[in-house]
Formats: sequence, C-alpha cells, structure tokens
Amino acid sequence: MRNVDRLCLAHFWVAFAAFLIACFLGAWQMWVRSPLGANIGTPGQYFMSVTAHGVSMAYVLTTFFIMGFGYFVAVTSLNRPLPGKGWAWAAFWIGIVGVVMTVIPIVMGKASVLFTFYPPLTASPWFYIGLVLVVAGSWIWCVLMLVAMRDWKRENPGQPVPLAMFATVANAMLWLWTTVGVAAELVFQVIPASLGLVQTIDAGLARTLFSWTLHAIVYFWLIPAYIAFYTMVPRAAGGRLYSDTMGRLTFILFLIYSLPVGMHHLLMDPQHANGWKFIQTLLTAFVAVPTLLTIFTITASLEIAGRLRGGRGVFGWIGALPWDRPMVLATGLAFVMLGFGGFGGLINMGYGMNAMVHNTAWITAHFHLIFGGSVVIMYFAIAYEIWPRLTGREYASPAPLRLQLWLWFLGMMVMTLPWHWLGLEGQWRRVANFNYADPIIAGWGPWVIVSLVGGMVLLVSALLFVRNLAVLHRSTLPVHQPRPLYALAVHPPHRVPASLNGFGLWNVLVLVLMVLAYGYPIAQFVIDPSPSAMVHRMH
Amino acid sequence: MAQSSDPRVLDQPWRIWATIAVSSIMLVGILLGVVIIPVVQGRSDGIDAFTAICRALGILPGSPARQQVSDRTPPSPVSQVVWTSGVLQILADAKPERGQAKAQEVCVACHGDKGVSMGPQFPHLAGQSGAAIYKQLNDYRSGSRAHPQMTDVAKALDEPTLADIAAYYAAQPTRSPNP
Repeated sequence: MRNVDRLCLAHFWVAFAAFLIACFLGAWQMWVRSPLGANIGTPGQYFMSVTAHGVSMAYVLTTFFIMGFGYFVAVTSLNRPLPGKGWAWAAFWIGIVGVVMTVIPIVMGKASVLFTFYPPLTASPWFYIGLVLVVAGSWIWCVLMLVAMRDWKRENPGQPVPLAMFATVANAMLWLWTTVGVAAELVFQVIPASLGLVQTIDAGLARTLFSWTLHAIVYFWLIPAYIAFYTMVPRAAGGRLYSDTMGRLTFILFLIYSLPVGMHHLLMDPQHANGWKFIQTLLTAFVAVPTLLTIFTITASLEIAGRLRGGRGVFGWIGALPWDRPMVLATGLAFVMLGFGGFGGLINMGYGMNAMVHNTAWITAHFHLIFGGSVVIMYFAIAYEIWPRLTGREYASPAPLRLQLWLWFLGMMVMTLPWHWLGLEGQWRRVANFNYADPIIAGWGPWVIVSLVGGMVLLVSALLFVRNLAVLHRSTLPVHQPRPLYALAVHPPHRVPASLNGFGLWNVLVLVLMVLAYGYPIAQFVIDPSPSAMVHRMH
Repeated sequence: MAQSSDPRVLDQPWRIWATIAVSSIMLVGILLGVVIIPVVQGRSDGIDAFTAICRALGILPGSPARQQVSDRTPPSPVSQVVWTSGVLQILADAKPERGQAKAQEVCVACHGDKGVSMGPQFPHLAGQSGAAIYKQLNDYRSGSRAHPQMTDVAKALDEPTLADIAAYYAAQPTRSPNP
C-alpha cells in the first residue's frame, strides 16, 4: 500500500469512526425524546450527547472525510505525487490532537453547548481550542490542495485543470473564506470569555460572525457529493459528463453564493435591519442556480448513459441505467432527498415562512435530510467507489452495499418527514424531554415514534456501512485492473479561459460581496455597541 | 497581436461579464432591499423615504414598514439591568449565607426551602444561574416586569440583598427532572 493510500485511509477511518459513534448517540437521543424512552437519562446527559453527536458529524466526519478525499483526488486526477506529504501527516495528527482535546471536556460534561457556538453559554476552553486545532489542520490541507494545483499548472501550462481537482480547490478556497468568521468569533470573543478573561460578551456580534461560517460550511460538506456527481457518476453509469463548463461554473457559483448569505440564519435576530436581511436572502436564492445547473447536467449525463445502454423513449433511459451500481443508486436516492430537502430550504429562506418554523423540529429535520441524507449517502458512494483502489481488494458482491444505501435512504425519509411535520405542529428543537402527559404534546407521540423507527434503521445502515468497508480489508479478491474513475466530458475541454481554471477573479468578487453584505452589519457592533450578555460558563 | 486562443484574450469576456453579472445582482439586491421596498412599504404607513431607508440600513431603529409604538410613546427598556463593572461587583460580593437567611424570611413559602417550589405555578430556583435570578428580581424591582406578589417582594429589598438571595438559590443542588 502506498503511503498516500494510508494517508487517505487514516482520514477516512477517523471520519467513519466518529460517524458510527455519532449514529449510536443520535439513536439514543431519538429514543429518550420519544414516549417510549421518556424519563430515561437527564437533560444534562441529553445535551452532552447532542453536543457529541453534532461535533462528531459536523466537524469530525466532514473535515476528515473531505481532507482524505482531497488527497485522493489530488493524486488520482492530477496523476502526480502529493506535494508536502509530511505536512499532510502533520495536519492529520494536529486534527487528532484537536479531536481528543474537544472530546474530553464533552465527556466530562463541561462542554454541553451543542456544536453551534452561540454565547453567552460557553464551554471549557479546551473544547474550543481543540476545534481550532482541527480547523488549523484543515487549513494545512487547503494550502496543500492549492500547491498541488499550482505545481500541476506549472507543468502543464495552458491546460485545463481536471474538473475533480478544480472543484476540490474551489472547496479549499471556500473553506478558507468560511472559517474566517468562526475563527474571529472564537479568538476574539468566545475563548477569552471561556478562559474568564472577560465577564460579558456581545452575543449579537458572536452570532453574526458565526452566521458568516454557518451557511458556507454546509457547502464545504456538500461539495464532495457534487464532485462525485460531476466526475464519478457519469462514468459509473457508463456515459459521459454532459458539460465540463457547467461543472466549473457550478463550483465557482458555490464559492460566490455560499458566503455573503449567512444572515438568513439570523432572520429572527433583532440586531440586524431588514435591508441587510433582504440582500443576503436574495443572494441566498442564487444558490438555486448551481443546484439547478447540477440537476440538469447530471440528469443529461445520465440520459446519455441510459441511451448508450439501449434506453428508448422519453423515460426509457431511466430504466436502462445500471441501478445495481452503488454510485448510480446513491445518486438517484440523493436526488430524491435533495428534492425534499431543497423544498424545505426554500421555506426556511422565506422571511415569513421562516418565522413559523423558527426554532422548531422542522429545522433539525431539514438539515438531517439535506446533509445526513443527500450528502452523507454520497460520502458512502465515494467510499465504496475508492475503497478497492485504496486497499487493492474487490468486493465479493455489491448486494450488501446496495442494501446499506437503501436502508440509509428509507431510514432518513422515515425519520425526517414526520420530524418536519412535528416542527409544523410546534415541537421545539433543543429540548431534552417532552411531557407526553400534556394533551397537546401527547398528539406528537405517534409521529415521534415513527421518526424513532427511522432513526433505528439509520443505525443499522451505519453499522452495515462500516462492516462493508471493514470486510474489504480482509477480502481475498485482488483488484486486477481498476476501471477508470473520472468521467470524460462529451466535449473534453482543451483550452479554457483563465477564469474557469483558477480563482483569482472569483476571490476578488467574493471579497467585494462580503464587504458589501457583512461590512456594516459587523461594523455596527463597534460603532454603537449594544449591552453585552453575562458569560455563562459550563465549567 | 494576441491570438484568439491566448488564455488572456479568451478570458477577457469572462472577467468583464462575470463582474457585471455579480455586481448587477448585488446592485438589484441593494436597490430592492434598502431603497424600493422600504420606501414603498413605509409610505403606506406614513413613514418618510429618508427614515425608511435609514431604518432598512439599521442606522435608525425600527421597522421601515410600520410605525413603531416608540414613535408615539417614549421607549422604556425591557430591563434596567446592564452588566456594568459595578453590577458584576455586587454579584461577586454576594454571600449565599446572607441570602439563605433572607430567603427563609420571604421566599421559601412559595419557592421552597432549597429552591424546589411548592407547586407548578412557582418556578424552581435551585441550581439556576445566579445572574439570571438577580436580573429577574431586579426587573421586578425596577418595574420592567410586574407580578402581583413578586413586585412588592423585590421592591422591599436592596440590590446587594437580591444578589445574596440569587447566590443562595444558585448554589442549591439541581433537582432531578425525573423524580
């Protein structure tokens, strides 16, 4: 096994170990919130568990998976060794130290603040310093991705960077921009408060800085799924990518329109005026453009594959697709979940409709469906696709892989659809237990139980996923000739404009948009400071 | 003369049109969000254009679309408590022992000896944040909050005593929610 394969596997296994632990915690949380598990555990244990679940899923699973996948893409799409392998291992170990530093205070009950950094509630400083280290490790990854692309461009002047790598660097750029908000919040506000250096904190400013990060981070998690859609799915389906340019535009638009939009998470916050909320909500709507470009391009690519396989008629090509292949199946299931989740997202984005679902279970259901559903199912598909390349071994049968993907899809739908409904019924989020003796709350009970059943199916699927990957390490079937991974475009690009081959122009535009969208909303806290909140420490 | 396949020539329209497109979208957002919608909405409720724009930007407080109660009557803050260094010092100097003595006199009849209340109409105070208890008592005292019993109770006590009582209840063990 090559060193770089070990590097990728190390990242993936840390990600999936955190994922499995988080699935157990999630299932337990569903259980104690339901009428079946009422009176089990204390609120303290519940919020500790929610914190561990959120941190594992949102920071550990994602960051380590994306880093591992980035290294894999850099080596396989550019066909050259990874620059700075020592740095990559250093980043990995910095991340591991960070995770350990974060987990210890959580387990000790000194960091039950959930994975969102919303003061004045503050955790042990170790919790925040640990997470800063995880981010610092990921920044090294960002630099390595940039260096890998720069070196390749020097060796191949004028050539278009392969789409998979272009998208990976777009994600690294996005992550560098994204983390500025939360880094400022932690370094200047939360960590000093947590250390006891200050006794009061401006919660409005902290929430604003966190909103800078909060939406774009979701696109950081999402982009690997889109990389798979554009570069792996057409090949897995036996066709070609409909348009390479559409892919480049999509990733550029994600970079631009995921950042100056975070204030739609603050629509109910009184610190910001209507005008800024409107501007950022309007820009949020433009995220629909790359999403719809992708649905169109990938559907067209799949149609090409279906017709090449003999599909006829308006819809005949759909049945002709190789749905038995995990990557194709996962894409179909991800699109269904993306459809439902996207619809819910449109409701959250509307000022008036958001007021109805604000702080209800609807929101939790929404981000489980869109992230836990459409994005994570593509993480599974990516892992299944590249595991044989990393281990040099082949699956005996794809059947357990398909079963796992179906279970994840069904579990996620059964869990999140009733959960959305409960939100519309008024069920609060971030609440440890419900008094089902209350006649209004009693009516929620049956739907909570249905949701719990979905959660249990997800746990079974998670166990099967880890089992599917683990058995491959012991498989006796070697991979003789790995089939090509990345799809060719219908018209492979020979020469692309510099703007579609780099990020200089787009970074300038992001800077201008960020200054316009966030400049005054942040500056107002300095120009006219509002009364600060008393810091409430968990330790 | 540069060839048409030169990346720089190829790139020029991209740079120009991308900048125009992104700037236009932002400009439309600013025009709609800060000028057109606030002015039109404000006009229907008798708010002049300048005030509506300033409110949409957050330079003036209030909604650009509606007259605020504070436009007609002077605003009263929802709380008089500000975490100044003086208030923080009062909280730091609070003594649970003194608070216990006072609590036995005025609080325990409803909120219970250790802050576990006598019935669902009285909140449990055991293990709650001392600063939060202090703030609520102070709000009753200043009139920011009104309550048939609590207003009189709090008005009869000075600020350091409120802090003592808050410190006493904050120090009591949290009651199990599932007894």
